[in-house]
Amino acid sequence: MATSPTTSSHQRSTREPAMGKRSRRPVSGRMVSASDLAQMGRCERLVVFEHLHGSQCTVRQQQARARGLVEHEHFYREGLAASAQAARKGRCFIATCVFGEAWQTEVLRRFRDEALRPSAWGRRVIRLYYRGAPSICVILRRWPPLQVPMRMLLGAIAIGLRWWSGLRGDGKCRR
Amino acid sequence: MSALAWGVGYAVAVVGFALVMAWRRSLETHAARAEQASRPAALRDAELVYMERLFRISTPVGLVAKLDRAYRKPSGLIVLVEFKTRWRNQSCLSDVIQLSAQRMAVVGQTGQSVASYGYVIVKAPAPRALPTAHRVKLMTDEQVVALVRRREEILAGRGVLARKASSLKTCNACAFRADCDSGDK
Repeated sequence: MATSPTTSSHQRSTREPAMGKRSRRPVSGRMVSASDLAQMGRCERLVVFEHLHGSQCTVRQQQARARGLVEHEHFYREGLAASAQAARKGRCFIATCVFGEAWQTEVLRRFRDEALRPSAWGRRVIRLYYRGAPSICVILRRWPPLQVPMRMLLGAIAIGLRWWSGLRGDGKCRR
Repeated sequence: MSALAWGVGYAVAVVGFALVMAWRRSLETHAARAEQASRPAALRDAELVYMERLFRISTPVGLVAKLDRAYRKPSGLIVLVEFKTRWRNQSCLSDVIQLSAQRMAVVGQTGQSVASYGYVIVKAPAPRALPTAHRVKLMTDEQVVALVRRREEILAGRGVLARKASSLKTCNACAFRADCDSGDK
């Protein structure tokens, strides 16, 4: 290694306390996080020092980190609001309406994403479905007895798709 | 009289509740618009599918990655987005590495197809700053695996030379600068 693990007392005194001590266990075979790996692109020596001494930050870095966390939280909330709005407008409709978040919904969703989406005609089918499904959902909610035949129909399709995906051997639709 | 007071109180409470709900809804709408505005143009019609979601794989290397956001395009392709707060309005190598590791974890765990490019949304740490999206080409799985192995070798001290940061700014801001300099002498 090119770096020395020695630490001058002067430098220690100007540093903030360690943010978190890292383990000195052997590193091979351990999980590495994407952000830890990203440190390699910043400075490899920093990776070594942080491994030996734990993560240490200057006051400025701590302030920047705090600012970053606030902005990140904001970014997350924006995403949350956008997905809530998208959910209100409705994306995956009839199956959710009759089954809720059940395995049947998951199977149908996977069929939409893995079988229909990749092809142009499949996307056309999805578009048509998105156009008509919200009104069907309104009808189903207004007259709940209609949900029974719809549940039977979609349930049969879901079972068929699950069986088909089992035959294909990918087993992705199985829970 | 008392019935009238109850009636007025009830009406005030209902109006107050309605106002609070409307205020919350307007905040939500504002946030949703901000999300739409922060999206890269290529993801305008994409669906936001993952947020702050953890993915992990154990082969060929152990990786754990938390996505900031992932969008699904109408074609079914997943595109990863990483958010960064920094003054310099550009993407860095570390962002590319992070997104590439995330990509590998998502593909490994879910088997979905993830784009070979991603976006780094950079926002200056100022209240009125607008985020800018930078499109980056991601590393291949082989390159990520090689980097993980290199990291392991450096940390295990197997004679692999740990490189210094290429940017002087990074060195100047580093808490380990003195140690690093003394190691050079």
